[in-house]
Amino acid sequence: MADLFDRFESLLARRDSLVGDGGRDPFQVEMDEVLSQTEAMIGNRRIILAGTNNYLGLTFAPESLQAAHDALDAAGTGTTGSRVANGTYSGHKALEQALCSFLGKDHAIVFSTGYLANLSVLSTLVGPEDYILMDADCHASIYDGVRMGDAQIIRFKHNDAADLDKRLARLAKKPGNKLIVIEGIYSMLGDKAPLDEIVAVKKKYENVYLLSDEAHSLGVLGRYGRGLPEEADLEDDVDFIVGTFSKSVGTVGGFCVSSHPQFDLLRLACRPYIFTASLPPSVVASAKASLELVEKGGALRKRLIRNAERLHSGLSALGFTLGGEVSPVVAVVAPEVEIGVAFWRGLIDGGVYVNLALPPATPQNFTLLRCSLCAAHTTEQVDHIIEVFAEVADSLGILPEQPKKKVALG
Amino acid sequence: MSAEPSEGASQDVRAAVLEVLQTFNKTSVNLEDGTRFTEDLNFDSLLVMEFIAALEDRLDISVPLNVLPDIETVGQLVVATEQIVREEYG
Repeated sequence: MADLFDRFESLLARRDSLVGDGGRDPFQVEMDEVLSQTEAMIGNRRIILAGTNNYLGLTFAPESLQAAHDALDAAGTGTTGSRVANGTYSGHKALEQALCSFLGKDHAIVFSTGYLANLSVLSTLVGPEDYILMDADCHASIYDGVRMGDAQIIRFKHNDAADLDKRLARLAKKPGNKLIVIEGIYSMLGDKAPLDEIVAVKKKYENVYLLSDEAHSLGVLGRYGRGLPEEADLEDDVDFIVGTFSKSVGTVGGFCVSSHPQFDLLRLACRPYIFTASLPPSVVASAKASLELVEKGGALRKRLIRNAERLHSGLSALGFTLGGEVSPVVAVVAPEVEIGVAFWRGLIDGGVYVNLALPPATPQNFTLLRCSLCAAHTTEQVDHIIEVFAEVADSLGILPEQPKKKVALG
Repeated sequence: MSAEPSEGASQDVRAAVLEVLQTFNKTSVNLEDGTRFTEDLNFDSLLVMEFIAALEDRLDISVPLNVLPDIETVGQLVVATEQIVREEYG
């Protein structure tokens, strides 16, 4: 008789082949003490955090801490109920109102995580006669959300508006609505969607809506941090914006905003909204306080981009293959999975934490040492990250002997 | 592609599936109805994506992600593709 857990044998075998030697497991890291936005203790070692998606460094913002403390004392540790039952407090409504004014949309719904926001909206918004056209590199929460729903799911090639165009043309005579799903910044390689091209394609067809997941671009792109639609000056062309509070906003939770007049009907239909406990008052209060800091965070964004440029150019000059353009996500491509694990361990030993990302969760089956930067990183910290990368690569013998020279192509 | 759902159209779809699949087949396995994508052809999710995109271009159809979990073999893909072509052009 097969054991219930036998079906996980292939997962176990893969884990054992990667980390079964008893060395540190990249997927079971414990932060023993968080010292600041950019440093933590892991065991006895002081580590620079370069893989936390804490882009603006707001996790310790005094205004947000104070708001959380106040709400905690006033309203308690939790709501013990879902949004449709006893879990909607004045704070939840105030946060939704703040999202509307920040993002310039008429309606907002707050969910308990970013993952749940995508599950909610994507499983509910479109029905059996409708079509979802999603970028192939979309996050797992988008894949899971569309699979929970009834719409026909069509993928288009990553960041390829011409491929999207071709697929919409094939569907043009079908009566259903079409929902294009993209991300502002893609989480693994840090590359942006070509929003202008995608909007141009969208406008060629009838009954086509556009949803952008701004998880990694909210707070990062645009003068006021409203993400890729603001940066591209196309905010009115994006019908639905999904986002999270667990990156730039520095806490946890998710949301969707839209100016569609019937948007609030989703509250009656979204199962991941109806059947989940709502966010605790302290989280709601800190999210609202941090949103104000995001909007006023021009100086933080400048520091973030400066750090990103420094890390990107430093690693590039050493000869590393990087996954994408300059962005707060700097993904170093490792030649193979085993080297990725060894490299990650070397970085920890050198005092640097990054994310190790492995196939099949990565685009093009890359093995990635994925760094994400913080506005609060000092120049010295960024330089230290670059030095440790160089040392580990040297000890593993994986860098070209001559550093790559920048060659002008025209 | 003929608009008539005929034996000929069915043969065309099968031939097209096999032709496109052969360009992605990195093994020496012969492509038969019972050939399994994962076990026999070592297809991973990325290769499936690329192969399906090529098949869509070849036949000018859209293959929804929804049909893929039920497809394990070449024969099953041929049947599913014929169904899509019928709906699209029949």
